[in-house]
Amino acid sequence: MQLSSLSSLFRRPSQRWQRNLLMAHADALVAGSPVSEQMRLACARSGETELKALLALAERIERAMPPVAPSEQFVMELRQRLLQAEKRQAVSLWGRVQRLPLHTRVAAGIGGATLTAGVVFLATRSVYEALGNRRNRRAITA
Amino acid sequence: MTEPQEQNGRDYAGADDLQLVAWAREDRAAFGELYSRYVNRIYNYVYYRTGNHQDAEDLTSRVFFKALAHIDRYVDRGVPFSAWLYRIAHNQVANWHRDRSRRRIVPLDDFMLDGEAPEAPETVTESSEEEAQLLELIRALPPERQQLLVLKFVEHLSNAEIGAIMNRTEGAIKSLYHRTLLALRGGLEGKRDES
Repeated sequence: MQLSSLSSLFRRPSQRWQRNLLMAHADALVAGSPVSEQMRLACARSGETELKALLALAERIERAMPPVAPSEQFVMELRQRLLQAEKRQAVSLWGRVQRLPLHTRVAAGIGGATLTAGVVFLATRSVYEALGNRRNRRAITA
Repeated sequence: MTEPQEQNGRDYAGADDLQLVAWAREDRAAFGELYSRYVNRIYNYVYYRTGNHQDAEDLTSRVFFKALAHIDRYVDRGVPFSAWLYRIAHNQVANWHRDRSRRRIVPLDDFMLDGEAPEAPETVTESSEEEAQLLELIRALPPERQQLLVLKFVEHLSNAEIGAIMNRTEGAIKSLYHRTLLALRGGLEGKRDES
């Protein structure tokens, strides 16, 4: 794009027009296109000082934020951890229980059975007590 | 990268993200390919949002573990996989900032110039003092404005892609960019007046 043709773009700046121009400039900037600099020069020639300042600022931002790269060691280690983690997640709960040592499974079974029996006992007792209280009340009223 | 190009008759390198996501639900190598495609981008994003390599590594790890754990939940409803990943990264960075502010209540200036200075982007890129000042101002911007600048200038994403990540229209992205530049210019003028 020629500088003269770009200059004609700066005749009637509106908010929307400015926004479009700024974003087009940013896109050209990150694409490494020389149009971005031509835009700024054309803007300077047209006397658009505010726009010119914003375009220059965008160029400074682009320079201040170059892409960075993580270390190769980090990338490789994280990759391994991710793949191993997925493998662990793929094992079901039942599969994990089956992998436990026999004495742990027996202890867990006894513990679970005791707990269940205790809950059942407490629940049954409260039901019997409630029924007994009801019977007593009936007997008193009779 | 040691990613196998083909395994189980699957062409990982040639597959698009959506296909890889479908495979990744049961296939580790497919997730590995997705990881290879995005690890640098996510790292860059997190790095410029946190300002140091150590936290960037930590948060990048969290992002990918989260993605792995929830890959079943990803459904393509017009939001690309990359956008989904960036959203996870954005949330992780937000949590990181929140936890950090809870742990240490320090003035913003101290936060910007604390012990992480040797690893800050300005030193890595050997940029001028002015650029360092600019980066400092960028890190003091509201999160969404920082996000926009990183996605545009570091990740080189199109407005449509940024819109998908930030859940905004392209017009809104342009408007946000305009306001961000104005805010930064105001900040720079303020700094100039101070000195």
